[in-house]
Amino acid sequence: MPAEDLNGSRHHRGSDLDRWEAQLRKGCLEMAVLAALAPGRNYGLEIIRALERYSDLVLSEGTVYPILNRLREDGLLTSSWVESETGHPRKYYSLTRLGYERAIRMAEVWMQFTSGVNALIRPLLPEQMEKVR
Amino acid sequence: MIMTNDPLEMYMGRFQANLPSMTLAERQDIVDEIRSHVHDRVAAYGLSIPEVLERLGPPEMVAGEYHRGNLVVRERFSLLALLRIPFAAVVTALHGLFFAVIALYGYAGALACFGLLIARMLFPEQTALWMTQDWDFGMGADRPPDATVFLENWLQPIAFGAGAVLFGLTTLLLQRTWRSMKRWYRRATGPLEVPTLSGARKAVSSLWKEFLDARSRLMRVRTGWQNS
Repeated sequence: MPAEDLNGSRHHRGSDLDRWEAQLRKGCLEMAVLAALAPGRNYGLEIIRALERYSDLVLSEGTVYPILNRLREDGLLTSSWVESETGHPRKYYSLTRLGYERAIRMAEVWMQFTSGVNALIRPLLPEQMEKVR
Repeated sequence: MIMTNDPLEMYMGRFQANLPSMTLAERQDIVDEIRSHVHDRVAAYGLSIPEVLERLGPPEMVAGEYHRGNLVVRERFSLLALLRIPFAAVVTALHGLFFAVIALYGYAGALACFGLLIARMLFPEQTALWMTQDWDFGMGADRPPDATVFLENWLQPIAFGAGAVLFGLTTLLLQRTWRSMKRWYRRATGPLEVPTLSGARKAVSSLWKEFLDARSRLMRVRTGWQNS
């Protein structure tokens, strides 16, 4: 195969991989947002910080707010505006009972799912999988 | 229209223009939240506003995320949803027609006013507005003997003012029509959004939450006034 074709093919595969990774992150984000609110109520930037602290799920901060809005519409979160010491109000979110139950269920599904997939991919990355364990 | 170079205002303008249709209160709530995020990021990290906006992502993309999953379920078939698409297409076409008519008559009117102004400057004797006793209006030198000339010295400033107002109003109306037309066009060509019973329930619950939010906001404002 000519070198140019090989580079083009690699580039194409790279963008496919990027897309797949972006979809994967996006898919997890809803659960991660619910999990970030499990300790108590919080506002947008702090939720993003929590997500950044424990994961690198947030590729673009703007994706978090529509998710919060959607979860609120679904009755999983409630929100209220609170005056802050910085001089502008912040919108605080907290889990509803339904949201809390959903977060637990999602976490269970996630654990089950990842343990299965981890077992499957273990032969591919033996050293890294040891660290995960 | 207020023109601004403020990057935050420009971002918010583009963001709002791309939000899906929703109640004013809901739209304001979303916009306030994004604005609050920007201020928080600037205060907490000392980033510049353009840097914060870059981290947020393109306004069209962020607004686009609100399109998905709001009060609608997509996978189910419904006759209503099918009818909505031709309806949106018809409304888009009507917008286009309205746009063309406004552009034609508005700018033609403005042009006529400016033309009158220039004609009056170049040919003051031949340019005059007159009215007969039978309420016939006309313009030019060949007026009937019983016609009365009016707006003699005021013709130029009034023609200029009317032309400027007509030009401005036409432009404003065209901008609004264009924005509205784009929204209807997106509905006509966008993904199928099917209203369901659960969607209606959510809509009612959302309205109730909006009412509660608005009430708490009002209380906040009132508390602010009392404190100040």
